[in-house]
Amino acid sequence: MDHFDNTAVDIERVSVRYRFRRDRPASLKEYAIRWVKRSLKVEYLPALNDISLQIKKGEVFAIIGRNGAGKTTLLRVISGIIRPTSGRVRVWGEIVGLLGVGAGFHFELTGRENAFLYSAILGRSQAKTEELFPRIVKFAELADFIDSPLRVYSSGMIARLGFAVAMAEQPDVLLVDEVLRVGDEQFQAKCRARFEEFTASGTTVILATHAMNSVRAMCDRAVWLQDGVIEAIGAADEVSEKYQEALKEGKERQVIRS
Amino acid sequence: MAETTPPNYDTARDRKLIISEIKEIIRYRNLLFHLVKRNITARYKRSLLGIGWTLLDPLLTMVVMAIVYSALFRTQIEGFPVFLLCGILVWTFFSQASAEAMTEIMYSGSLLGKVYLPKSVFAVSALGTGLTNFLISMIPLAGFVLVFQRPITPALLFLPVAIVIISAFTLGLGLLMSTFAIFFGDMVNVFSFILRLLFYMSGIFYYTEDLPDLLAWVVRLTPTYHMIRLFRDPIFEGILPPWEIIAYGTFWAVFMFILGYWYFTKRSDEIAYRI
Repeated sequence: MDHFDNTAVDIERVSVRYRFRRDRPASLKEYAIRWVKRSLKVEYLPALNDISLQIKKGEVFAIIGRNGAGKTTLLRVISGIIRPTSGRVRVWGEIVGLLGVGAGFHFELTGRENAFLYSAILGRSQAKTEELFPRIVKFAELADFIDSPLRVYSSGMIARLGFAVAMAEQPDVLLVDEVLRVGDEQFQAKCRARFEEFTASGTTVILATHAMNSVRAMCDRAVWLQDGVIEAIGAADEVSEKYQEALKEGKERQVIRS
Repeated sequence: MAETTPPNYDTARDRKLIISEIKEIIRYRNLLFHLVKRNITARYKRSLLGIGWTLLDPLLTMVVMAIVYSALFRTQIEGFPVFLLCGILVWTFFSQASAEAMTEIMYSGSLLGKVYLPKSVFAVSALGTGLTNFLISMIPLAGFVLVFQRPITPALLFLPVAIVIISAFTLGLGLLMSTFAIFFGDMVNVFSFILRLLFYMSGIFYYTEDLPDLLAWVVRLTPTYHMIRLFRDPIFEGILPPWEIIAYGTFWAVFMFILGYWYFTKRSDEIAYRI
C-alpha cells in the first residue's frame, strides 16, 4: 500500500446507480393515484459499475468513451458533486472542477460581480479573489468590459471570463469536462499554455473528452469507459487507439446491417 | 507503509450529517455573502433608484397596508398600524425566505450538477436575503413607532433573540420544503396555499382575546403566531413576550431547524442524483 504518498485520486469499487422512474409521477395527485394502484416502479440506471482506479499526483489522465458511458458521472463522483451509491472515493489535494465554466453567472450583474461570485462558488475567500482579480481580467482580456453587465457580453467573452476565474489559481487536482474548446484560436492556445504550466508544476489533471488527438498529445494515461464499466485502462496512446478501432468496427457493423 | 497524509475528500469519512453540512456552510460563507448580494442587487439592477427600492418597497407596502386594514377593520387596537406592521414584517420575512429556499434550489439544479457546493447554501442564502430585507424595513417601522408614540423600553433588547428564533424556524421549514419540492414540483403550489392559510391563523391583525374560544385556541397552536408575538410584544406593547410564548416559539424553532436539516441532509444524495 505504499502508493498513497503519490496518489491523488483513489477510487475503490465505486458504483453509481441513478434511481429513476421510467414514467416519473410529475405531481402529488398522480403519485397518490399510482401509489394506491401500486404502479410505482422504481428502476435503477447503473451509471458506473464497480470501478476501481488510481490516479497519481501530477498525472494527466483522460476519461474516454461514448456519450452516456459514465464519463461525467465519474468526474462528478471525484469532485464530490454526487456521492457514490457504493464504494469509496478519496482525493488528496484541493479540487477545481471545470464541469461547466461560468456556472452560476447572472446576466444582470457586471463582469466584475460575476467574477467574484463565481470565484466564491469555487470556494475562494474574498481576499483571495481580490488578490487574483487583476490576473483574471488580464487573462480574460476583458479590461474594457469588466464593469458592463454580462448581458452585453458575447458567449465567447462569457466563456473567457469563466475560464479565467477558474484557472486563476493552480489547483492540486483539476477536473475538466470537454471545455477546452473555449473562445477563439488565440484564446485556446493561451488556455493550453496555462494548462501546460499547471501540469509542469504538479497539478493532476483529469480530462473527460472525445478529442483523441488531444488525449495522445497531452495525457499520460487513459481509461475507456463503456456502459459504466472499464473497458480498458493504461497508456493514453494504447487506450485511445483501441477505442478508435472499436469505434471504426462499430461503424462498419452498422453499415453492414443497414 | 501507512498513509502519511489524510485525504482532503473521503466518502468514507464525510458522512452527510447535519454538523458536517453546517461546517461546510461556514466554510462557504463568502459564497453566501455573494449570493445574498446578488439576490438583492440583481433585482433592482435596471431601475433608476436601484438599491433604494429595498427601502422604498417595504415603506410603500406598509403605508398601503396601514391605510387599508385600518379602514377595513373597525379595530379597537390603539396604534393599529404599528401592531399590524410588526406582524406583516415578520410574516413577509418568514414566507418569502422559506418559499425562496424552495425555488432557489429548484432553479439552481444546473449549478449543483457542475460544481461541488454544500447543498443547503441556497436555503441559507434565501434566509440571508430575507433577513437583509427584514432589517432594512425596520427603518420605516421605527418611523411608524415614533409617529404613533409606542413605548420605547428595554424590552427592545430582546429583538435580536426573537430574530434568531424566527430565522431558525424559517430556515428549517425552508429546508424541509425544498427537499419536498425536489421530488414534487407541486409542493411549491401546496406550500403557497399553506402559507395563505397560515397568514390568517397567525394573529397578524387581531388579538386572540377578541376571537371565539375555539378559534383562539387554534391560533395559539400555530407556530407562526408565536414568532410574531416574539417580535411584536417588545415593539408594540413595550414588554417582554410571556415566557410560554418564548418557550413554545423556541421549541418550534429548534424542532423545525433540526427536522429540516436532518431531512435535507438525509436525502441530499438523492437530490444530487435528481439534478
